[in-house]
Amino acid sequence: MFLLKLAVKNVLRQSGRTLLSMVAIIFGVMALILGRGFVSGMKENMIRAQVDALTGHVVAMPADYPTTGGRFPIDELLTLTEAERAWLADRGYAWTVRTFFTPRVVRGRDAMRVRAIGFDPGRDEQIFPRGDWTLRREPTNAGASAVSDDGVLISAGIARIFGVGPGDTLLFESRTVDGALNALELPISGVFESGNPALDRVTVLMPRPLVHDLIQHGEAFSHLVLRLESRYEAFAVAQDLAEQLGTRAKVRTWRQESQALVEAQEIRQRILDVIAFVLLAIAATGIANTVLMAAYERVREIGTLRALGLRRTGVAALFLLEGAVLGVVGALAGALAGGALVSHWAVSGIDLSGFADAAGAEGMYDDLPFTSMLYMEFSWATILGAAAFGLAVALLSSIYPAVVATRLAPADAVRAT
Amino acid sequence: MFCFELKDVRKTYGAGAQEVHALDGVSLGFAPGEFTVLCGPSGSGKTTLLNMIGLLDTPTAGEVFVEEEDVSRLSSKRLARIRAGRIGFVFQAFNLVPVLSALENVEVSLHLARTPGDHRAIATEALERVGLGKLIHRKPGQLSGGQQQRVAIARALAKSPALVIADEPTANLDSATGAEILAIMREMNEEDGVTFLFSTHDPMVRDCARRVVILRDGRVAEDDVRARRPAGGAACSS
Ligand SMILES: Nc1ncnc2c1ncn2[C@@H]1O[C@H](COP(=O)(O)OP(=O)(O)OP(=O)(O)O)[C@@H](O)[C@H]1O
Ligand SMILES: [Mg+2]
Repeated sequence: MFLLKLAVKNVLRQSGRTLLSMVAIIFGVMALILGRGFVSGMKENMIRAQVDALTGHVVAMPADYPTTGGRFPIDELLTLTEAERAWLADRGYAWTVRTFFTPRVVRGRDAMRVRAIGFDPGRDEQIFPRGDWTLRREPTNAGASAVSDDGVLISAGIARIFGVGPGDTLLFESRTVDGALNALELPISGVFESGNPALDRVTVLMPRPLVHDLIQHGEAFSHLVLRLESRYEAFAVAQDLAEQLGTRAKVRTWRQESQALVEAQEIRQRILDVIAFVLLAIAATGIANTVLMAAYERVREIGTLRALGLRRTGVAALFLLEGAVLGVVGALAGALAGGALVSHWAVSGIDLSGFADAAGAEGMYDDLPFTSMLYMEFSWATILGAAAFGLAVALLSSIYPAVVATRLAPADAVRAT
Repeated sequence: MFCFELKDVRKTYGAGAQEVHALDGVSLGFAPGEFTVLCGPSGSGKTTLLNMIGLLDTPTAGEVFVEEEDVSRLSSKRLARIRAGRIGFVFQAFNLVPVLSALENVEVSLHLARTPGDHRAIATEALERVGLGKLIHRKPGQLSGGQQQRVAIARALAKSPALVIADEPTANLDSATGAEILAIMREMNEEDGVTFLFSTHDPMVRDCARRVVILRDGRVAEDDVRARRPAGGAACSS
């Protein structure tokens, strides 16, 4: 007990130096917390953006459908039987079907292949909310529903590339499901910006009847998408759905669909962790220096305590305690500050639209879904872990000074100046 | 019967050409209640001898006995325990812990000695005995040299040690203050029967001791026990 008192008093005695080491721990712990909060927020953001824009919670597609490479074949599509529809209705899932295909868009002498998503105007918005979108439409059309059956919605990216806007037309060329060539001139009913680069680059949303006019797919579709009350039911629901649909379909959950994204985020997390570790390593040298200086400055005091009967282990304990005092206070302050910032940004979010635009211009994030508001993830585990880590760093870095202090010979130490 | 004894103790520093025989075969015993002053020219081995008796250092050869027990080969842990319980130190430079108050400095020593009883009360009483009853909450930096040395004496004596070792306790004090400090120690010696062992260059200090040991080149040159305490010297009157 008296050792602790002595340790606290000694730490307070050199307030300037103490403050420096403390600040280093605080920033290290904060960096750990914020880095992890940011990355898990980013992960969560991407998952949500993907769920909201592309995959829902559970998605079924033709058995041989490619899951990578951005190919969207229509030669083998799915249809639902009456029994399957009844089963879906019976279970009460919110669901819709979509058909992905890649028509060529032509206007004048410009042409490019785009990803088109055929959607069911009656149901799509219940599964894929568009509340956050900004939608430009023809002024005369302004009052009408965002979803109109007589035209296509194009992404801001396509609008930019072709220099078109609401009211203009684009020519769509595609093969039908039977392989025949077809072309259709379609009006643009709106230009959307969802804040999600995965949609905003080159996507066309096309109402189902128009898709049928172009590819003659009838009742068929490429994706059946379910939205659940809780995404954690996805695995069980996916199993049931797979059983219903049999071998002609493959069923995947949001988790499988987002795996690549999540892994990419984990790499980022490791990078941020390394940065935090470097900060804490700097803190560690600071603390080691603080405690070592304390040891050298207090040689006579150590000798005196030894003469009074304090053992070597007691001397070691004293210096470790001094490190611990620095560590506890620093880790607590860092955890408090980091936790406060994370919980603030978990609620109010960080606006990433500038970043999204910049990244989009580079073409780096074309395929990454995310929404422009990032909400950090608040996690007690991360905060406690970071604080414990900061404390451990402080303790570890006072080991060497403690060893130096125990090696002092009392006979010499009592007479040191 | 000696409570502390050195038998043919040698201490050698360095090796080869640099070899220094700081103690070159010293045998000395100290009986309970003795008040001994160690004199001798600078470098004669006074501090080295006090370190041996005080168990702060171990001899190169020879034995050290504390209350009949040979302690010259004990572990540093056991030595620390004996120091804590049986030996009090007073240093030339006072050696108080700067961040602790006078009271806390004394309490630390009681804590390490595992003295039974209420440490606060014992420490307060010890400080009152050295005349610091009003200053017990002051830090060493707020005390004069003489006052600091009084705290050191209180710290050494509060735990009721068998031996108090003081290496030039008055060297950093002016002569009047030194005399006061000496008088306090004399008084403690007479009232409590604590054994005292001093080193000094100060003739005033030497003159008030009953036994004077003179060291020369690491050997005992004289060991002079006077029949009675010398009268007169102002330093010796309490
Ligand atoms: N740690 C050490 N290493 C090497 N030599 C030492 C050491 N300590 C003391 N000595 C040497 O041992 C001899 C005795 O020293 P000691 O300090 O005991 O003398 P002293 O009588 O206390 O002198 P002073 O009156 O100046 O305090 C001296 O020659 C000194 O140089
Ligand atoms: Mg000396």
